[in-house]
Amino acid sequence: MRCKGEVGDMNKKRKRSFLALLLCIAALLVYPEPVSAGEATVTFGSNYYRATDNEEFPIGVYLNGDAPIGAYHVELAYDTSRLTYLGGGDGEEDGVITLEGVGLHNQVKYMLRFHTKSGGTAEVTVENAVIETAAQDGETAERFDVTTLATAPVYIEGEDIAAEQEAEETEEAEVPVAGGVPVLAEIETDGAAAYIVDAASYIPEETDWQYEKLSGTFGDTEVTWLTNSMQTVKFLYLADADGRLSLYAYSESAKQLYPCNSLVTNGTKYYYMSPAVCENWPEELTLDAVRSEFIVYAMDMSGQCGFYRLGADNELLEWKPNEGEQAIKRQNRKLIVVLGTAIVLMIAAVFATITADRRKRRQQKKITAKTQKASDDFVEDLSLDVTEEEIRSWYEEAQENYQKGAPVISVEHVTMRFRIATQNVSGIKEYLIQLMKRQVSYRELLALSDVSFRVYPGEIVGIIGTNGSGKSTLLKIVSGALSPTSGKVAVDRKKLQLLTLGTGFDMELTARENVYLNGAIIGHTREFLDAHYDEIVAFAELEGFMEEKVRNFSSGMVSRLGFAIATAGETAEILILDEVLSVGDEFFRKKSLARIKEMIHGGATVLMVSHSMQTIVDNCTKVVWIEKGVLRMEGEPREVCRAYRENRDG
Amino acid sequence: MKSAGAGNREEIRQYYFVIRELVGREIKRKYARSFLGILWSVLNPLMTMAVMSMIFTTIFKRSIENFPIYYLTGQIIWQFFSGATNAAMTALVDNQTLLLKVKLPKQTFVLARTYAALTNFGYVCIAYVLMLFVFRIRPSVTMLLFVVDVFFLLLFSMGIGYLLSILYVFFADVKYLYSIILTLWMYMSAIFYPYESTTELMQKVIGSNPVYAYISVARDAVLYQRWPEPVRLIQMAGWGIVSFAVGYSVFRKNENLVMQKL
Repeated sequence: MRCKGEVGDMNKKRKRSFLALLLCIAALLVYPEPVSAGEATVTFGSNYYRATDNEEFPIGVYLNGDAPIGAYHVELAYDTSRLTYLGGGDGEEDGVITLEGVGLHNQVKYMLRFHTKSGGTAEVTVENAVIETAAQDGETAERFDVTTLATAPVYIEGEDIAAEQEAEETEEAEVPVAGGVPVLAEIETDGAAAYIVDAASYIPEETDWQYEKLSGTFGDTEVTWLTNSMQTVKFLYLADADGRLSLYAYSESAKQLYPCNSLVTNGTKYYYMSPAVCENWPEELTLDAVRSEFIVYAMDMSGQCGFYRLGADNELLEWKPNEGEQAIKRQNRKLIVVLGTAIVLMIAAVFATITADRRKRRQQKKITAKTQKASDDFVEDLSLDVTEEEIRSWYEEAQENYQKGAPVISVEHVTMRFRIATQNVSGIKEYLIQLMKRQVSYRELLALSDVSFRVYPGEIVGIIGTNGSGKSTLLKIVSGALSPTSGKVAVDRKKLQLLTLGTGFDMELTARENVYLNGAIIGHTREFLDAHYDEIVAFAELEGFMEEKVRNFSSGMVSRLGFAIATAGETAEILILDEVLSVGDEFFRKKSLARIKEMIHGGATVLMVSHSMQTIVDNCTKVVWIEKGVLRMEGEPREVCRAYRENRDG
Repeated sequence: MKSAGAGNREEIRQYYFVIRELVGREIKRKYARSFLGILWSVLNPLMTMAVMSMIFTTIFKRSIENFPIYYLTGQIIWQFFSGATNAAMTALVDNQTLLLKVKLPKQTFVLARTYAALTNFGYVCIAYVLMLFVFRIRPSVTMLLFVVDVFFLLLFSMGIGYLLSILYVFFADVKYLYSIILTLWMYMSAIFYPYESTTELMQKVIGSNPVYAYISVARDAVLYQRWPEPVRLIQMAGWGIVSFAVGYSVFRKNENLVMQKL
């Protein structure tokens, strides 16, 4: 028997082989000379079709003969509940399409068009085919031996309306026993009643694999099993009350039925079920593997069974024993290598750093020893740097130079109001509690009240006042860090430089890194810092300490570095000094004072805050006195300072 | 010091320089007292990945294909997001002295923190690329999408960072609250379990999680090498832009209020 190995109806195959045998015998008996009747097939373009609901799709039908085809008559049945025939054949009546005509060549093609009207699985089947050879040279036409009458399932995506309708219809009919299907006994599966279909008297149409019948028992019921050709797997059909059939496979050891589903992989249809159905598991197959790799037991149309992996797209993949385990082992091996390399790298790096650190420390000691000497020399030079008299004379000079022009800084009616919660609420919980108690009250703090003054080019203006009088707030407003509640400050912020010490210093970084960080924050460019780096280091007297972390510096060293960075390079046109002149040791204080003088002398306009009355009196051309946010006095330094002192003491 | 004729361009250059210095400081600071320093950024994700993968593949067997890369992709994206927002949250408070004394735009500090996280992410990516080689992931055109994904993730993190930094000034508790939110958020991001294996409700929750959108797009781009679902792409761009816009405008509105509070 020839097997085309395609989806075919077993029944028909048998009939076909029987017919072929008969024909052969008949031919032998009737005709002494065997006449080649030729063979023909009726097939579809594909083993199955996929379509979605409410869509038009074609099905190709092919009549193939060994010899040219003459007259033919083929009938195809289709599922009328799910498909509407649109055309392409030679006629249609009651769900049967007729293909009729006379061919010329070995093949006749038809393209049938259908329209889907419901989801589910519809079937198109070649029911009947009579094909004759083409009559040539006066020979009479002979009938082809039609060997294949194909069936093609059409899987339609969408709601299965047809099945529902069918169900309704059968329900209405109220057939007592499983919708007309002969059944044996009632059993329970998944909580619903089901009936065992009597396979002895009724083989459902959808049985499309090569089956054998085998009688046996299921529980207490005598049943006829449908088995695969090797009789290794036993199947039963169960019908529900509506006569809907589903296929189950039986596990001898578990005495249990497992549902079977079908799927199509690479054009071949398989029935798949739980691996429990198979009695002899290969050694490598464990429950673990079944669960983690989605292993199923599957049977093809010829009854061959085997274990497969069920893929993500509902397809069967070859299962190789141990593959999963090996993949995990491979992966874990790689991971261990990665982890190992990382740890080795880490240890290597730790060693490298420790040795580098030790070497650095040794070098540092040498440098520190050297610089200690150098700075000793340097300090001596400083002692004859500046005297108080000189400072005073510089200041007088500056005062002479100072001319009135357009104001550089003009503070007009500046008022600053802070809202301060009376209770310090720093958490949401507290806030909510207080909100509930309606206790979130704010106190208005008037930091500055209608303050106005002007600073002209070349002026050096000092701001005095007790702590919390609003001096710092005023500086912040002038420098632009704060916006006033009302009033206006007119100043060209591009020309303005705020000198504060150590802002943006990071204790964890080295001095060199801090020069760049701090420099960037207070507005120096990279090029500028590169160019003035040596100058800054020299001024701060920190040669040899620059690679050291600032964490290890004394506070004097930090302020020196801060001062050096802040005052490096050319002087800005407007300088704002916030408590700058009380930095470091005595020598450095003089040095920094001298630097400030130099800047002032260079024609800068200065606004400064200092607690040292002496510094104010010595340097300023004008003093502004603020008390509790109100401008109390503005004028000649000595005069204002005297008034301030009297007020404080008295 | 600024020269008299400092133009707009120079200002931008200076701004860029400041951010660069601040970013450098954040990174140097992070590993200031460790021996390995920046090498930790590379080693840390590798070691977590190795440990997590071994544990998960042993417990759950092969439920996820190529688990190490699956996990690592999710992990580095999550680390970037949580690191950036956590750092940005405290940016204003940590730098309050600077803020009060220096005339820099306030957002500089928030930006610097976020960029520091991005730089760190760059080092992490070295480890990531290395692992792609080890686990034989072939280069593909879709990997370019990873860069786009990270860009929008940056926008998203910046937006959240802006909001948090403002909130933190007013309520210090936000820090603790946020750490709890982050934990919950992490488990909702399908970093070490497959999204598909969760219940329908959870899929809805995880599906609307912005961070999951970034992780999912990154996985599609690098691991599966396919175009992500359009929904995820829209989420990716949408969340990034919306978060940044909202965060930035809230930040600008409250800038002055913050200064008063500090």
